Amino acid sequence: MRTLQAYLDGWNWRAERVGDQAITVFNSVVRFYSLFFSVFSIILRMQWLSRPAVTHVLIRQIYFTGVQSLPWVLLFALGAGVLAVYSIVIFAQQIQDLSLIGTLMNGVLVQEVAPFTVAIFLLARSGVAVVTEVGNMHVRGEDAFLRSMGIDPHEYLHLPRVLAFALSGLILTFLFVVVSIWVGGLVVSWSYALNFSEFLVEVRRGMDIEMMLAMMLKGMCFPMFSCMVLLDQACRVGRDPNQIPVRATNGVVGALIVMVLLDALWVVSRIVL
Amino acid sequence: MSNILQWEDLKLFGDLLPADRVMRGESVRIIMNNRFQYAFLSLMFPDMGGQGSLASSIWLQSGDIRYPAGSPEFCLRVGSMIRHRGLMANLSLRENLLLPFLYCGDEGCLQKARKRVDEVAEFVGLERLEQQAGERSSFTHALLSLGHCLLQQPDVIVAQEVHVGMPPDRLQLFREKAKAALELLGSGVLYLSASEHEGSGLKFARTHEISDDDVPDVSGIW
Repeated sequence: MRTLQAYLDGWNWRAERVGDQAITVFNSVVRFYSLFFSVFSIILRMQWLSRPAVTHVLIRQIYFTGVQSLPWVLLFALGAGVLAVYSIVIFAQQIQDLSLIGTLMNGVLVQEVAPFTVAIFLLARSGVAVVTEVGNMHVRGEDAFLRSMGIDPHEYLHLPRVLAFALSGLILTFLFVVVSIWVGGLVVSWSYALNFSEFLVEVRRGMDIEMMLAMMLKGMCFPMFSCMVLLDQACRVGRDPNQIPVRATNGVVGALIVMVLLDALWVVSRIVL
Repeated sequence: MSNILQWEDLKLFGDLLPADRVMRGESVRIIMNNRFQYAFLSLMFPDMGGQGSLASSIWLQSGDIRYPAGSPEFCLRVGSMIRHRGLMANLSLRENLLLPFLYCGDEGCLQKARKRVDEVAEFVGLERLEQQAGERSSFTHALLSLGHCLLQQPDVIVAQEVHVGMPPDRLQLFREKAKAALELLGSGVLYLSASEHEGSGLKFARTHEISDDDVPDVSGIW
């Protein structure tokens, strides 16, 4: 009898754990949706454009997230991007099908490597800064100060960061692709693997408008959704400074998961549609 | 037209705060512990994205018009002086003083505030306005809050234990500055305090008191 009771208690305990986890996940999704909805409704209302306080923060965030990241992203493009281009060309030559250059460039570099590299770089460089900065604001009670002044914290704190991540991600991804292809093409032609103009013709052949749209969409959405995950975590810091490193770690891991899920969703939607 | 801050009977953690109003030039005090104060402040300045709710139990009556708590009109006409909640650390002191005007987006108001900001800073005793605010004492937070009120010229000021946590010499200095500012503005004051010895030196027309220590901890809100 006692054994049966212990067995049932064990299952009760497990069921409770599963239930707790499910509630936690559900609450996280609801909170994230609420943040997403609030920020997007503010973006669409466009009132922020006439508020110098918000546009000042936006400019500062674009400078920090986009402009200051530019040299590093270009360096990444010269390293990872050029290497990807060179490997693709060599692979296409080895199987004696140069028409694959454009297709592989499109499928690997433009649609996957570029948006992911830029998003991960922004996440590592600016993502941690976002959680720390906004988390510290919560610790100091600045969100309460903003509310007492009639300032919407979503509009003043969150919107500029989300927009800065989205715009910076879009532009940096585009630059990453351009630098990778051009410098990669030059390296390929210097190494006598392929003539530069032939290389460009093959790249052009593999590219289409759908690919460009996919690159832009991913380049914008990956950093934007990452930023929202980070802001969601920053808002959960509350008044406890010890929560800042915990939330920063959760934010970065959560943002990486969201990026992978978005990419998977993109692939599934392409298969279905 | 005189604006009056009003609230209906409020249930705070099961205790009743009776309906009342604060008019220009009068001071009303509510004595309650910090948790009640935070709950009351959350009703006064709710997180509604600057929209306000018509169902709000706190509002500003301006003639026939009722501005609910949280609406932009309410926030323009009701100033706040909350203990240690007077600035954004990553802005300069000047940007802090001008923040509500930079946010509201009315170019006329912003220009007017820009012209007055140095005069107000001198009045309250703030120097080096271009310096980043950073971490400051309760005294500086209080001075900045007073500066906001002087620039904003609200009908009613909600003060929450703003005199608490200052050394005696600074407390005396702040009390004098606040008294002079209130005489200048003629605003009404709603003072939230945990004790009747709040140190403001104000003469209160009415005092409400809620005393209940058995309430949940909501200190994380504010």
